[in-house]
Amino acid sequence: MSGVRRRVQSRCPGVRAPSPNSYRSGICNDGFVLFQPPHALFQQHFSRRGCHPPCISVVSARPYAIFQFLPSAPGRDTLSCDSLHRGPGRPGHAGCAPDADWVDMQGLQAILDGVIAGMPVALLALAFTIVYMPARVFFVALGGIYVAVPYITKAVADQTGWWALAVPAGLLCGSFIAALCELLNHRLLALRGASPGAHLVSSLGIYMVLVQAVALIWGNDTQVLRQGLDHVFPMGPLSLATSQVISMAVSCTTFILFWIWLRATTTGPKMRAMADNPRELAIRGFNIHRLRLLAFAFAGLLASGAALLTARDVGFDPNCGLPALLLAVVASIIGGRGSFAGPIVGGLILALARSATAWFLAAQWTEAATFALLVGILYVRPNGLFAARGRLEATA
Amino acid sequence: MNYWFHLAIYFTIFATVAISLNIVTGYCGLFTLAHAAYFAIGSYTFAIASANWGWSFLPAAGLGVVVAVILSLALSVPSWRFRGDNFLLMSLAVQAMLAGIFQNWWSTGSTPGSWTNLTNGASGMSVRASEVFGLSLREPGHLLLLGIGILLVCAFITRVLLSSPFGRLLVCMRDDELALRGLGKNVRLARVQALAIASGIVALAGALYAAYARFVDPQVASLDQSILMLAVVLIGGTGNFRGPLVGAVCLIAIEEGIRFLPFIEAGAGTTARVIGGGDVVASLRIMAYGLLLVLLMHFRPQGIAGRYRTA
Repeated sequence: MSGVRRRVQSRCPGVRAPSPNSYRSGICNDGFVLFQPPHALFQQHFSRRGCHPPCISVVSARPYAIFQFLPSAPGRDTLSCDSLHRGPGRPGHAGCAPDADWVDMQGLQAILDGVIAGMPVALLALAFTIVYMPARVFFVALGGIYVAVPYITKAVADQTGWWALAVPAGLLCGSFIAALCELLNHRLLALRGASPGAHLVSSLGIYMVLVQAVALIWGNDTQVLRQGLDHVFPMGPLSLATSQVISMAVSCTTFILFWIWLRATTTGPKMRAMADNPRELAIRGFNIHRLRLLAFAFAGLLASGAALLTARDVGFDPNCGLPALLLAVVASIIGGRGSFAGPIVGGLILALARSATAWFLAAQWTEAATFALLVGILYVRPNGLFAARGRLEATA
Repeated sequence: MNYWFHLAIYFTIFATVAISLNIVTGYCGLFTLAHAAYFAIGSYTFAIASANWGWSFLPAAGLGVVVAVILSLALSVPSWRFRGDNFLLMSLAVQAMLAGIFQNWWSTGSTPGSWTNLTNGASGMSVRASEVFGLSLREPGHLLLLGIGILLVCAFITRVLLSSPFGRLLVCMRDDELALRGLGKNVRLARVQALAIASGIVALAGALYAAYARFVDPQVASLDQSILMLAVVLIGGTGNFRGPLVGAVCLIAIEEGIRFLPFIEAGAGTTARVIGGGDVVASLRIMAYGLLLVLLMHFRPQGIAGRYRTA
């Protein structure tokens, strides 16, 4: 019952040093280490000390990462905190309690980070909803696409050296895999009249195959798409990393384009109609299979975008897909699965709540906060914030 | 010989898990992702009770069952009006919270199992060798006997329960909950009871696992384990008695079959050599599960030996 990498624990994200471009690390009192990304740098730093990288997990990498030393499992190397005290570039003990001169703006910074962290979540939630609403498919394999795309992109970039080629190639691959899922699996199941459970289970099967294929080909290590340190733009007391700027710009553009597509083209309204009632649309003579294929391809594209944005910012590994997807599903439920605006708003609310929890409470409670929010919303408004009440028979 | 003992014990553990999950998935028609967390509750409670108070297997495992039954209310009460995707997400929430407890309830300096360091965090706890009726569980033979005993008892209980009016109530609830409510049946209570029974049985299997592996860590409660359990039940077949057993046989067959593939240079019972940083046997096994799930949904949605089409 082992073999899966130990997963990331997050704690005090948003903590950052006073001068953003200085190289700084420090140890929190309970074994957490502040460090600047990227992970490669971090791993080099410790491999010189004979440390086995998997015993370290990345906690938050924006723009200062906090790493936690996991207590060693039997047979695994441990790194004592002492070796870190002697590490290069460490100006002094930082501790979890930050210096007084930058602590007062950190709450605001945490909220800003939270909103920006919500952008990829909202993208992924939109990707999930765009399949869930018209096709009623709980598209778990989206998590597999989310995992595969950064690896494909990195492989193409390593081979050719052109990021301008690699990023579109990754996006297209993600879109293509999603379309294949529909063509080879969900369409056949739908033609057979299978239940939603069959779609869910087969999609889960595809997810398992995709993730394990990635792990077999590229290994289990955490990687990051960006090379070197990320540039940080100071804005008064606040600061933004390049990854965050890109994430915000790409996501906002996508949302606007998507909104225009929904309103101003001919396929957009068809998609909305299908989300409302697929059977009625089919009876009226529209080709719902083509629309479904379009929805899947579009979902794959959006998920790939979210994956690439996250991969540039905090890195990726084969096990990051399902947690990210489930977060997105929670976001889409909070927002309401009855409208296309729901997942976007839900993603932002969720990320803000997580960030606020991490900042004002403790970061190990972010998961608890996420699901407490989910349970609360499901209890008060089972259809989400943006949905009308349905009939009793219609609710799942 | 030890290898066959290993397989047989592994089979009894997973058959018990599959039997319990079949109550939820096959008879209630609900997908749950929290099952591994209840399994881990059994493991951890057993580990703590046998280490701290020196309890033998049966009382320690019994305590695990009681704890799991009580904590099953955390899943069944908030989610009693949900079905389908919403229930799945509620179970996911419970799984995340319980896994968070196993991961985070620890502190340095105090011994594992004490109140401030209950689970020893990610490093896990080693489990004291236990005994049952004066027989030491260090012996694989005794452990196997215990496993077979537990499997038979659980199978008998489930069989009796599910062929009783209670079982028919669950099947009706799965097929048409509104109609049953219209007949004045207490649907929510029945579901709470079913989840409590399933959690209790899986906690027993968890205690057996802890006694066998002599080590528990939060990986036991991970989401991957829950998915694996669900896959075992769905592949074996749901809604009848033999499906889960077939599922457990498939689990063993797939795992051991992959171990003996020609390109994997490893002896039985050891981890295969590593390509690209991953464990090949584990990856191939999960891949085989994924493929089987997809194929089964197309050609035999009720599972290999199942009766009810959960999916």
